Amino acid sequence: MRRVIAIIVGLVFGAVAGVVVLAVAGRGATGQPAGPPALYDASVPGAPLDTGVGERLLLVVGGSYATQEEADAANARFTIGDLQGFYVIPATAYLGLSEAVGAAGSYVLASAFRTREGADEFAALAGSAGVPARIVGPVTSLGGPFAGLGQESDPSGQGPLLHALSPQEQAALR
Amino acid sequence: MLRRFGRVGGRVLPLGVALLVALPALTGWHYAKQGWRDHHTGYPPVPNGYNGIVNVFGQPCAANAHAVWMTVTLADTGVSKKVWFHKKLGGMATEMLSGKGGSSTNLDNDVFGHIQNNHVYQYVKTDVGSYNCRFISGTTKYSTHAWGIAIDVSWNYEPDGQCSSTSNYHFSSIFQNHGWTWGLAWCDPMHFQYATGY
Repeated sequence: MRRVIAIIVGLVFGAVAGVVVLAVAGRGATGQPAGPPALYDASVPGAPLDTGVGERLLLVVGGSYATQEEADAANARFTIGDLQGFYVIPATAYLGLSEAVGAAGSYVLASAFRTREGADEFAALAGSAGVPARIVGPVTSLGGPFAGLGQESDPSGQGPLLHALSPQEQAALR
Repeated sequence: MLRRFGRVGGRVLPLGVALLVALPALTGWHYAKQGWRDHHTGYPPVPNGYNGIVNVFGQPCAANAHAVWMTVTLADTGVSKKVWFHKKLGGMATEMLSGKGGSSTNLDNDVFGHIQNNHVYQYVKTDVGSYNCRFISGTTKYSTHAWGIAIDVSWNYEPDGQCSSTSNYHFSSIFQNHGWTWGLAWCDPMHFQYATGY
């Protein structure tokens, strides 16, 4: 009888310990999940990875670096809460960007915009987070890595700007 | 006699001390004495998940997401910042605020009014921000900031990734009592959002 009780107690303890281990493994070091629920929700749609190839765009630049490793390390130090900051891109991804950042910068921390308003807003945000940011361009996208297009308001006021501006609007971009 | 007094004194003394502490708080300065009151008017339903947010607040980065503003003065520096947010979460005229075209009293009048009235405004520190048309870091999913339904408070003291709070816990219950979810649940103690499940 005692042996049966010991086996039952052992099984119960084992099950409870297993549940606790699984629960802890699924959470952060202090018992809380890292990141908002949307991160783990596969039903939340993501914006398309639009590179704006051929478009004249403005870039908010947070620095330029000789190597991608240096650029990645610098970018990792820069955070704005849960918001996306800069993207690491090669300077050759945009026509005119190498000249704008100088010979030393092969890799650039940048975020791309189709409108001056969008670039101004992000430059202000980066500035308030302590990162000096300057607006470069317009430069022409050669279709390099994604640099964050879609993070600005459509001038219509209906939502995010997810399409190219007309050639006339691009020509007027300053 | 002395023993008797000691027994009575043992009961009266804590009461007296409690009164001494509570009296200034009860009779002292309150924002309400200047005319402020909690209106609790026009609150939208608290949405759950992406579809809920779009149903209640519309598209991210739209004009309504940054249609109204309030001024927040940071207690540690005295710097005043203009914070833009969704028109359904504030911007209505009250005794203390001029109307800005919004349709509720939630964030500007009620939440920040309570923070003042409860003497915890000194914990609203550098820096604050609300509307931003940005993705959640490392994704292309729009942040609740893109709808103007999230506010970050005391960034420098409550960094993202910190699973405890050093400042915002003083007023987190005020946000929560007005429909806001605190990001501390996912180790982002600066962050409050008017939505669940996102």
